[in-house]
Amino acid sequence: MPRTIAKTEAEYAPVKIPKSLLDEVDKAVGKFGYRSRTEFVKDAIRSLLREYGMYKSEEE
Amino acid sequence: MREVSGMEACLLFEDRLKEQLLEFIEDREEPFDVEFLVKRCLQPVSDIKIRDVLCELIEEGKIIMLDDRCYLSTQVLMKRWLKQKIKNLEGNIIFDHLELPRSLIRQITRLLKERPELGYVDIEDFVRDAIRRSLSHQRR
Repeated sequence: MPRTIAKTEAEYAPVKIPKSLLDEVDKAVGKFGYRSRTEFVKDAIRSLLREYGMYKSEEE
Repeated sequence: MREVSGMEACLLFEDRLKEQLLEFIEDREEPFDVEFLVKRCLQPVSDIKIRDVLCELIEEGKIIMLDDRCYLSTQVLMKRWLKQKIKNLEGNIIFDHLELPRSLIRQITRLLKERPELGYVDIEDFVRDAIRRSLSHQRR
């Protein structure tokens, strides 16, 4: 449905990452119980934001 | 107060001229020549004096001579070279795109703005660091 597509486009944005780094992520995904590379990267971002005291779960 | 001799005054003038010329040309993106600098001086200065100062600046490595007339600041030249080098390096890296929630990107943007001392250049820089840290943490 167009409404759903519009919502998805608005909520997600593309981020450029070196392929070599994503290849390493792909290797780690299954090994450490993540469902996808996106899940891994999102978790990595949350951890680092948390480390800097800037993560707010309610904003997600 | 000790009186400044003619010779000392001349040296002082040359030092000041050199300092001011360098300040004027070191960020100048375009090549320049003696004639251009003579015209830009607020006080009358001979082209021979300007030429002498330019020779000193060449010896000190602060400017280079492009041809028999034009000069360019070494700093500007280095910046151009580095920019090109970085561009070439990036050209060799293959990138992939990942869709990430805007809510997370907003939080990264806020961190970049509020904590510039962390040294992240942009969102991608932060994401790369987060991935690397997570990978090395998982490996431990």
